[in-house]
Amino acid sequence: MDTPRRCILHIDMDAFFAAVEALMNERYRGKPLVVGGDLSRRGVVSTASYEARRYGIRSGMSLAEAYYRCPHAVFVEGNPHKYVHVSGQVLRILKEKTPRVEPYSIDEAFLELEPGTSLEEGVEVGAEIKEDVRDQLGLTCSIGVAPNRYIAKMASGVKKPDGLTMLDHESYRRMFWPKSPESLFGVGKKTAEALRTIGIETVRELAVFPVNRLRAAFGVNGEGLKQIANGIDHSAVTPYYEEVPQKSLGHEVTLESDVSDREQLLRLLVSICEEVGRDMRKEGYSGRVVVVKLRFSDFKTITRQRALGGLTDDSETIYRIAKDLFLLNWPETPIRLLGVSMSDLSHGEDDAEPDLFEIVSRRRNAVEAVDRLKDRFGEDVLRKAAEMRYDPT
Amino acid sequence: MIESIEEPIEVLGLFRSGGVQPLRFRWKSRVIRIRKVTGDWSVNDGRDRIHYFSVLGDNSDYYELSYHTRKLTWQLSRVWLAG
Repeated sequence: MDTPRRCILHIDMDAFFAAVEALMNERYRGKPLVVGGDLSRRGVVSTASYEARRYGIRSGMSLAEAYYRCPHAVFVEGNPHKYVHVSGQVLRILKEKTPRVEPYSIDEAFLELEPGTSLEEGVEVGAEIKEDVRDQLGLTCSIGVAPNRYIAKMASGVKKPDGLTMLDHESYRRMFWPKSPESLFGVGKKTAEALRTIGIETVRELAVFPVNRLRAAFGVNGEGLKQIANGIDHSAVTPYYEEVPQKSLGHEVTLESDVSDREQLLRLLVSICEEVGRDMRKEGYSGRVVVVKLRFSDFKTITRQRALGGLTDDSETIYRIAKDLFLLNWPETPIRLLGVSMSDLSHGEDDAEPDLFEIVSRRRNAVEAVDRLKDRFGEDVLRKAAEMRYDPT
Repeated sequence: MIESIEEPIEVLGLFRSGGVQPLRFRWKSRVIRIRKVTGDWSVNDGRDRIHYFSVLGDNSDYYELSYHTRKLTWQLSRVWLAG
């Protein structure tokens, strides 16, 4: 059991992107609304309003399928700037209740109330939050109140939209133990199938299954599975103002149509590596491991990585390694997504390798000058030639 | 259907409490009275800041206006007209 007594709230905005669009344009209200990309291009559903969900439209579904299911739906291209702005307004409301607010995603957050707060008091705070979000922003949210983060997240999903659900350990077990393990957050189809192969069909069976057998089947994740089945979670709510160490930094691009042209893919790789290097320099990070991600037209995804001898934030160095990884692992079949990220990050100049060569220092000065130009005049003010033509190297 | 426009407009606005509220704007010789400002957000373009406003006209036509803080110009960004 959790000691001392904790009270955690999980706030989940209802159909957030669609709700924000309908809030701003009253003509969208009450209609099936799909926020995603342009219908004329390949794209997926980002969020569907509850009216659209009645037609079976779900996040991640292709826009083409969404259109097939509901041709009279309104399709809107998403505008992340709007949603980030409104998300900030939601966070301001949450911070009025407690300073311990952790944004979990653009439309979810965890709150931890004062130690010793009862769950019933947490429900009162939840009700106030719902009222404030509705009155000040015209939006609805669903809230879970629980003794830890995991149960709070599960609780917020019990009644949606516009729900408020309290679950303690006993009510969590009562509600979820009869269900399939797939009902647990973090357990997908593949894990559920793997659990079935060792005889686990319900959350209860998972909760009481010997941990050594779970470890044998799932490695370190086995113990985690047993814990969530039992509603055990000791993780902290990390307020937004406390620095969370960045694990990786990267960019990925989903292509408008599948591409198998080597030159085009290498040009894109240059561009992505430029962005990754620029972000790292802006945030003050350098990294040791270059990771390349490829997703093929059949949605099979691979990642390949290589560790460098030292730290770098230099786009050309990142590109050199990324290009090597790409060419070694690309089977020359069409690609739908290309990504590059840096991991094993270090923050701050003290961690950077000493610069022993003047030529590196001169290049560094040039790179930082380009970064300053882009900060002032926008990303398109200067581009590498290699982003626009074939890279002969 | 929402349409992208990106055309310059003339705007009558109220500057108050450190912000601006568009009241009316002229587009293609039509003067449109803003019944309600339903949202606002900002975007950085290099060092420049652009403020966006979503507004409703009298017959619930929907417009997105943008104000460029360096150029001090307004644009009609997107519209959704009835019918």
